[in-house]
Amino acid sequence: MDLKIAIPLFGTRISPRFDVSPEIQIITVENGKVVRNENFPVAHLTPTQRLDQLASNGVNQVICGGIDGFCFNQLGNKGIEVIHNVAGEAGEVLNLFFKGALRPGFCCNGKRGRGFCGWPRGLRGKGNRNGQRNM
Amino acid sequence: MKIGKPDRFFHVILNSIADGVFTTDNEGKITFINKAGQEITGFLNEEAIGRYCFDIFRADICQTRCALKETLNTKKEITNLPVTILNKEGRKVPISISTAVLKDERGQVIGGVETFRDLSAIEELKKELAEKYTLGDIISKNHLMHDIFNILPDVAESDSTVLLQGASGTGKELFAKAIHHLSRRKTKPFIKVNCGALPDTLLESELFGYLKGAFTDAKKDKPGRFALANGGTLFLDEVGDMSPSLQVKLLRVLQEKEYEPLGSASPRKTDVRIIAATNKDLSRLMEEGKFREDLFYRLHVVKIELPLLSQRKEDLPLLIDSFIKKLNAKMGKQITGVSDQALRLLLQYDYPGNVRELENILEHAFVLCRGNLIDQDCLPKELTGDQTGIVPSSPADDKNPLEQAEAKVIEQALKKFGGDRTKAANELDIGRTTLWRKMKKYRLA
Repeated sequence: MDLKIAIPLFGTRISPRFDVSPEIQIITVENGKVVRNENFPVAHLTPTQRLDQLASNGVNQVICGGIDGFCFNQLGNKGIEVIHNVAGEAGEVLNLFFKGALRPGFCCNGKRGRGFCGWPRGLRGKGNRNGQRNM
Repeated sequence: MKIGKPDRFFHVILNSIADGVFTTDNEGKITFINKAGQEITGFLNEEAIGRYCFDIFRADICQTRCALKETLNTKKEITNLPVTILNKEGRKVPISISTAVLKDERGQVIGGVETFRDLSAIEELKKELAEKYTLGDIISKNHLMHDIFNILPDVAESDSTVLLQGASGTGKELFAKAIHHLSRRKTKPFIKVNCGALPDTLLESELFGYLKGAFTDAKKDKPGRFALANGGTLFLDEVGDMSPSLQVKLLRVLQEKEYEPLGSASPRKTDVRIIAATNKDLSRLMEEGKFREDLFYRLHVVKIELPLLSQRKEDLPLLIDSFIKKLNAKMGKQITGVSDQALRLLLQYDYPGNVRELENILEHAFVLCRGNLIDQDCLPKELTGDQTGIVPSSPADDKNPLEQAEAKVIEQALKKFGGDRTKAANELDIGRTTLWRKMKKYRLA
């Protein structure tokens, strides 16, 4: 399946906030393979401009850290899937996503038990796994 | 006290206070977060410990100017910086933060501590007050302005011609727009013409329009502003600059409700509400014979005089806040406010250019400002210029008013005599050594 994934970045990590991330990475996946990987500086963009940019780039999946209710709903209205409250190195998170193991609230510090990324200590299994959000 | 293993009392005390507190190690990973901190951020202790503070705290400044990092670098504490965080549920929470360095018994830096206070309730109150203080795009809590706010809805409803008189930059156009939006004509156009900006003949064709063939190059009909504003409001700015011949034509429109486009043989009806504005004293112009008496009385049906910004200085904090929000959106910045020293300078200034000048000053500051707070260095020279040495960012800043006055007098005397201390001391009737001592005290040497 063809996918366009957008990840707001803070350095090499997932930006803790969708609306003020300095950069955004857009990854194009065709036939299960990453064919393009582009970074855009977006520090100067307002939240609405960011949403427009994602829509105009044909993005259909967002993986991000914190996201406010307005942006979350707007992405939903545009038909873009969101996995939010994710933390960690963007590369590792993306790998997990491709394996189908990424869920909202995932914390990927890369140091937990042989490089395994998982739920925050003590919370395994308690997270909201359906990706839905109570607004 | 060791971070990560706080002793029992430390834990109990920090968990009993209403402010949020978290500590980090030198890497910026959270080592402790108190109960209030967990409530404000929405993250539980188990979720927060060991994770980068920016992943949990999620403040708008985390990625641009981390306050904790700044404190660790400069060793200077930051107090009460207003920021907005995104809590775990995705709701933005306004808070104020303070930061400090954490050291062990040997004085080694082992991390930082950040305390934060939830300002949601205060912001909510502020918002309520702001609503009380606004009318359209106009913000004020000044009594003169509130008198105008009170009559404006009635004025708007009445359909009478309005004359707005006020110095440049006092917001004449904003008032005109507010009247238009409060009136029954709000769904129809609001058209503005600056009568001072166009030469006479051009202004006439702009106002009334022309027909094809009215003059060379008039190749097709052009509707005037009166036609464009039909059913709506026509705002005539700088009406005092209008030539006598045009004044007659305008008078006719006001009296007869009709006008003739250039080259037309028949008059056209118009249904336009006129709001005129001027920064000149029209009654004086009338006495000097530069403004027609009959037009003056036609325009003068309802006259609203707008106060100078220097007459409503209590509005400065509100206006500054509002412009900061506007400029943040326009320039894509994350400025949170102005520093105390900058605010003091802004409050001292007289604003000959009124609100527009304030807006320009803040835009200037936005361009120069690198941090999240507008500091006095970012302000233009008009504000800081004549006060060099009096209000610097030095300990001298803490002088009481008497000392400030003394410093100013000494500085003026020194300036007068080109820095000659003997002459300056004679002028001030104090000894040379006293002068030297005071110069040193006030850092004028």
